[in-house]
This record gives sequence, C-alpha cells and structure tokens, in this order.
Amino acid sequence: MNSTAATATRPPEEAAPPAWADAAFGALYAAHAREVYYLCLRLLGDPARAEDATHDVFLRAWRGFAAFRGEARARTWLYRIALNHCRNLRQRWYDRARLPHVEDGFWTEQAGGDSPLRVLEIKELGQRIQRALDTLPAEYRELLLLVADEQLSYQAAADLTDQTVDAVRGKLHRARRAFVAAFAQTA
Amino acid sequence: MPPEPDPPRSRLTGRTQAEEQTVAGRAQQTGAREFGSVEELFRADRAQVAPPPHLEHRVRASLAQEPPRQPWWRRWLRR
Repeated sequence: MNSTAATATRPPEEAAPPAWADAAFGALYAAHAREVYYLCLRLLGDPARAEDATHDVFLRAWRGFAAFRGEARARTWLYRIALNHCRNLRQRWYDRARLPHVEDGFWTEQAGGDSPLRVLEIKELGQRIQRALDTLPAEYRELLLLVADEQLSYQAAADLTDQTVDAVRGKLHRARRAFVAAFAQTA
Repeated sequence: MPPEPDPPRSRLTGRTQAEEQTVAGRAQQTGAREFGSVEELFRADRAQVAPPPHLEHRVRASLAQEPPRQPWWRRWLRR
C-alpha cells in the first residue's frame, strides 16, 4: 500500500499535524533552541551529547505540545523537560565517574590578585567554564545556569528546582562563590 | 608635612583609580576580558555557543516520523 492511499483512508484528524502546529512549533524552536542547547551542553559537558539531548527535548516537547496551554512560559516549560532529561542522562552514565562532592568550606579559600573572573582569551571561556562547572555539585550547576538566563526569574528557577525562592537565593550565593573559586583554578 | 592620604579605592574591586587603569590597560593589550558577575560570564559564553545548524533539520525529520496524534474523543472512547 502506498503512502498516498494510506493517508487518504485515514481520518483527517489523524493525518499530519496541522499547519498551525507545525508553524508554531517551528517558532518555538527558533526562539529557544540556543538556550536549551546551551543548558544541555553545560550540564552534560559534551557537544555531541548536548545535540542528542536537545533533539530529545524538542521531540518530547512536540509530544506534549498539544497539551501545553501556556500556563507556564515556553522557556520554563522547555527548561523543565531539559533538566529532567539531562538529570536522567547524567545519572545513567556521568555521575559514576564524577569527582566526589567537595565540602562548601573548600571553596572559601580564594586566591587574591586580579579578578577571578578575568579571561585572557574569549575562546578559552567555554572550556574553563565547563571545567569549573564539572567540579560543582549538580544543584549548584543547575541554579547558576538557570539564573544566567535573563528571561528566567528567581521564582521560575525555584519552581524548576522544586524549592523556595529563599532557598534559591541562599544556594546561589554559595554556588557563585564555589564557581568563582573553581574558575580561578582553571586559569 | 603630614603624609598624603591614600587615594580612594573602588568599593567593588578594592583597587585605586590608577590601579584600575593599569589593569584595564593590561587587559586591552592582551585582549583579556573581565566579567563583573558569574551570570555575565555565562551570558558571554552562551553568546558564542550556537546549536549545530543541522539540528533543526534533524528535529524536523524526527517529528515527521512521529505517529499521528489521535483526537481527544478517540483516545477517550478507547479507555
């Protein structure tokens, strides 16, 4: 049976997705793909895995697109899918080889001198950020990446990580210090 | 003659104005860049990271292979 015949016998509701859905989803991809890919890249630490994860995130988003009513903002909705997907992936293969958790006190000793957030070459930035992020607890990584997005409020970050805004503020304070110390060590 | 008072220091970096200029000049010479916050650092990083161009095509190809969605009433009748 050829595909034309199959489509012809199928009820119209079961045919290909309507054009509006296709166009709306295309717009969703265009508006958020960069941020979703960046989140996946820095959470997983590998461009190929980030590409696969971003693909899977948008596929899952498509499956839930009809149910998405816009109560949550699209960015928050996509981030939730991405966070859950990356957490599952990391649990499966990455956390086994991760560095042991380091106590917070370790990060309070910082080197003086120049600003610890100074980089000599902008092209080295990604590698240094990744190396520093990889040493942090998963929760710190996620919070730092979420609040770096200007479109995301502290409330949204709190919702995405299932905690209160006050808890987010407190953890962010420690996460920033931890990151700055780790980043300085990558120089 | 009393000693001259220390020049005022930046509350943010703790450096004097002259020291700030030296650091800025050194940064300009080497092409270095200094970020005011961790968030700013991440945003600069994100600005230079783009998803692979073929990813959109890959997503669209996968969407085309997704099974068609049934209308709600048909899913409801099958319960």
